Amino acid sequence: MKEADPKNARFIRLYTGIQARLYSYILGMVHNRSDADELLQETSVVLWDSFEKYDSNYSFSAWAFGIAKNKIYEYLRENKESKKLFSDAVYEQIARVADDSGDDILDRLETVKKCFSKLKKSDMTLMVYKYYSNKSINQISDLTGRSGNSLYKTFTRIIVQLRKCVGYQMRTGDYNV
Amino acid sequence: MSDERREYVITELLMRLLENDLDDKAIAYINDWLANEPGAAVFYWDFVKDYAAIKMHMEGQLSGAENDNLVSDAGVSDLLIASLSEAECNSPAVEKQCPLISQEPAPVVRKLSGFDKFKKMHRIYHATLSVAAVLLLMLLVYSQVFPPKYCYPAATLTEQVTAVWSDRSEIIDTDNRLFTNTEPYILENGLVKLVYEQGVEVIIEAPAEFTVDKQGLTLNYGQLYSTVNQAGQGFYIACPNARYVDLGTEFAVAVNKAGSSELHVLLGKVQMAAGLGGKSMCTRTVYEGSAMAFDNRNGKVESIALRGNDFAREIESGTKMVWRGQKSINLADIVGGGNGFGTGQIEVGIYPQTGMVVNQYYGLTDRSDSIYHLVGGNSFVDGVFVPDGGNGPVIVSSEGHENADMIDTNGTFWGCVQNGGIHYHQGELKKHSLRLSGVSYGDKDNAAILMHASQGVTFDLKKIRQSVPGLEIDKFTALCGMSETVYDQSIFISKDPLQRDSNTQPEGFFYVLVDGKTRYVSDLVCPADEPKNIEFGINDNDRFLTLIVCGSGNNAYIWSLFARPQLHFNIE
Repeated sequence: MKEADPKNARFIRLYTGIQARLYSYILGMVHNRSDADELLQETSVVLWDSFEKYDSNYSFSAWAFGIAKNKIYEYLRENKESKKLFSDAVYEQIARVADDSGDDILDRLETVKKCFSKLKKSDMTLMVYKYYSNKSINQISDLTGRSGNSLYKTFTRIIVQLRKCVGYQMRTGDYNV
Repeated sequence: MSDERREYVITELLMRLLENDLDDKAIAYINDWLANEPGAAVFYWDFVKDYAAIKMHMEGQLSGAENDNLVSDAGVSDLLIASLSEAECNSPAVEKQCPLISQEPAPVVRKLSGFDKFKKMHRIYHATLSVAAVLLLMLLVYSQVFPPKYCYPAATLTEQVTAVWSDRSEIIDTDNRLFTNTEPYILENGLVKLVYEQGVEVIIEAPAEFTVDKQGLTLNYGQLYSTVNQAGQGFYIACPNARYVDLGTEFAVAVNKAGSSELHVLLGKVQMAAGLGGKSMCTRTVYEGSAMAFDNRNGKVESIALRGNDFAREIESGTKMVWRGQKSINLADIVGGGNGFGTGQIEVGIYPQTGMVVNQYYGLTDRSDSIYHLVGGNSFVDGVFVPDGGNGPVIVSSEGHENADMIDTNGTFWGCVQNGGIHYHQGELKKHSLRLSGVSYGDKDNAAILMHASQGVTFDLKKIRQSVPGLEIDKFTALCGMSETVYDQSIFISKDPLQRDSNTQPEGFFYVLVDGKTRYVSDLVCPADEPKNIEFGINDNDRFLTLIVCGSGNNAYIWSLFARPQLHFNIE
């Protein structure tokens, strides 16, 4: 068996540890699911390409977020005219909230896992379909013949239910919402 | 708006934001909300973190054939559709959404000065002039927003059975068109069949009130059966607070006058959407062999037992035939003047010497005139006769089919060819039900054709087929035998073979012919024998089916029954 490349292994370990937080940060700043997916991909490529420049005396997370923020600002600047964006003041406010927000994404991930198991089977199926196939609501609408509005209502209900469970659990440790 | 409702509305907006599915106005609304409402940015950031966690959890834990099947590009799985239907039923009530833009400021009231009064008078003058212009403008706008409703032909009435229309309704006759955007059609009695331009067929049963549309029908009350072809997929039945949309199928809908409705799916599947005004619509797919009920009083939707045979699926004007999905036609019912599906009368029959319909049992013996008598009063019975093979081949149909297999009888008969199994009081004989192997025959559950030897009756298979278009007659079945009650009733007849008088012993033969050819002939039968099963296939080209009983000996006490005589359809 070929030995794993130490650089590879190290990068993967460090990147995996921040991937969820990085994704949520990018998603919150660009507020567009497909663009966020793309930016995360681009960011990870830049991180990998410049990993040799990374000074391990400093936080990998801070280094990675610095690169991600540059990608985000570049995105916002380039898409100022073409995309539906918020005002600069709102982005500044979101960035402030993001910086103040605790690093609890891994806890949320763990909690989501437990709360997801409490969903009805039909709701689970819909969530699996949407995220496994990575389809937009409108694509699902086209495929199933259901109206987009009806699908938004359905997925909103499931998301609200999951978020209630997650919020309650994170506050109390109790899953029985 | 309640906090909970507001959470739903904001969450949906944020879902749409992440899906890049908002217009500029909605983006501006979120921008203002984030900029101005305390806690909005924190809510947003928490939402995004949860959304990301959910997405990453789903992506991280998903694998396996089950999920691959679920998201296969080959098509949308039934599991997904079923899950959607169930999930939609759990969706929150839909409220009228609050406007995203702020309200106009309230008008300011102030005291009028002299100049203001002049301006007010001036405005009244202008206002008067403006009213006409405004009205004209409103008329123009109204005509654009609410264009006049034109009536278009949507369906044609092709068949009707005992149809009676209300005085308040237009009277529709066969081949008349029914139009959209009319007052409701009100059917007070009977049934009508409508055929839409795309080929959809709908049979409506009174009492019913309905209107038609190009792609559907609104049923205020009544019941109907809909057969939707491929071209008609998407055809809908709208009922109070419920809508049933075809997905390629046959289905029935019943609506009572309170607006509660039932959906019965006989073939394929139907999309159901039901809910009280102001509350969410529950949508689900209802599959073949199942039925759902919507209660218009409380909005409850529940599964109910399928009542497939309660709905008329085919009707025919000429014969007044109404088919409700039965798998066979009862020939005894036809002898009783019915359509084969239970509309005939017990103890009604046809006199073999005249072909006349009679409503009582003639307890008289008569002699054969060797003539085939046409039956005018019964659409499905071609003719009757008294067989006597001793006179040569017997004519058994209106087209001259002959049969030479019948025995030489004494040319007499008793009574008539009758829908029933009653022997009437006569001399020492009491009125009683005839029996085969302990089973009494002659009622609706155990139908039978009574023929006291020697008699024959011929059914017109072509006319029977025409009354049920689209159905194929597959086979004929019946039991035949002589009533064992003869041993209880007559002191002259003994069950003991050793004590039988060969002159008085009732004996005879049963025959069944198709187009004059013998398809079944029994051995010599007496009342002590077990009834015989008859079953054979019917071909599409077979025209006439003839049932015969020939008595041997002195022809007395031959109380013969063709029990449960049925023509079976070739349906799964």
